[in-house]
Amino acid sequence: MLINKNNQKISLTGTSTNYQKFMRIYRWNPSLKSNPWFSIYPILINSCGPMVLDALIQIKDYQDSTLTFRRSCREGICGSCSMNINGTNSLACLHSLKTNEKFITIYPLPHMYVIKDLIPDFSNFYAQYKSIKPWLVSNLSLSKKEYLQSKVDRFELDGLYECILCACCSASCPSYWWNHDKYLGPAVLLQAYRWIVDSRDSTTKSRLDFLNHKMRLFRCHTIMNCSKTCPKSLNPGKAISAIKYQILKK
Amino acid sequence: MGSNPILDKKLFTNYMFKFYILNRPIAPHLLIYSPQLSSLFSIWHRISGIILISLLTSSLLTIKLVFNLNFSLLLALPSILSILLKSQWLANYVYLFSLTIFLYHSFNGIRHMIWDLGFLMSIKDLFKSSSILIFLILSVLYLYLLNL
Repeated sequence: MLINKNNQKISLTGTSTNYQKFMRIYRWNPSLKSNPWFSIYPILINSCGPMVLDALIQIKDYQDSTLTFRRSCREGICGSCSMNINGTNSLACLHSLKTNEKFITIYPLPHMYVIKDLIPDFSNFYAQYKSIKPWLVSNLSLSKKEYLQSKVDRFELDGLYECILCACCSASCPSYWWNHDKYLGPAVLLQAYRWIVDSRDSTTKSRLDFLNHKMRLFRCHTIMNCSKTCPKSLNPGKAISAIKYQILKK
Repeated sequence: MGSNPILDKKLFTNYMFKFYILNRPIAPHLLIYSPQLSSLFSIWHRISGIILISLLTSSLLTIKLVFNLNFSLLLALPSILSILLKSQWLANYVYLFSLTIFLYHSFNGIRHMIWDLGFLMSIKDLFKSSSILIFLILSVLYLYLLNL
């Protein structure tokens, strides 16, 4: 476990800063007929990269190669490594290891079915995303020119298009925990608002009619856990409130 | 979802079917998620609503059924409570507790109405409005205790 790398950090202050931390990770294996358990791994901060994802990769490389998790870009843009770290949902590649806590507890995304270890099942999430028809429906016939959009109209999409569909917000919403089969969840509703507010889209009325439903939209009770936990600092709660306002205005 | 509602319903129930067959566990949620400011205020809004309803119904029921009194006597509420609880200071505490709960529910209700209009929805405004809420409740309680 003590790995000497050539670029290992050397402390110039001389104080014995405690570099060792323990990672408590939720594990479950479908082939073993057992209940989920915790595995505890020690890591040294100065021989590991700065983020939780680096620690996970180091554990998988040197300590326990059966640890399973999703990862891809390591820079917070793909949304693969979303998990619950120390009680809040975040991307592992964006969550720093340099906290004052000795134990870092990692769970998969709350109230999602676990395929293995830290990997949740997203099929329900993707089906809900498909149900809002996340594509442009324009009323232009086959035209040889681009469909132009003014700067003001394009500004409406800022804060909505950056969503990476990591599902951190939906997995943090207690309303989505209790009604995940019917309620669409903040991530999908943010994307629904992105298509409603797009000036090039012509099916706004049918989108709003689809969302004007007791379970699909109005299970949101403005708990605002979603905006608090978004790793990209987006605001799904505000978008859901705007959808409700648009439905009531019609 | 798509053009064929029967096929879509089959697809949707297929996912649920998969969950029942495969015996996968659900990742822990309520006990492991760290309490956030947002979720705490929301759950206390619901709990305070339940407490207020139960207080109201229990007091109305005891007045009507146990004491057989008219509701014109509601004007002397603390004295009725002291008759019920047989001590003046305990009645004051119960009154203070129910006043706090009522204030919390009303102010948070106003905040919910502001949210429904679309204002104060960012995270910074969330922190500000939560601290203003707590400050308002404490100041109203302080003024009430001063005037006692």
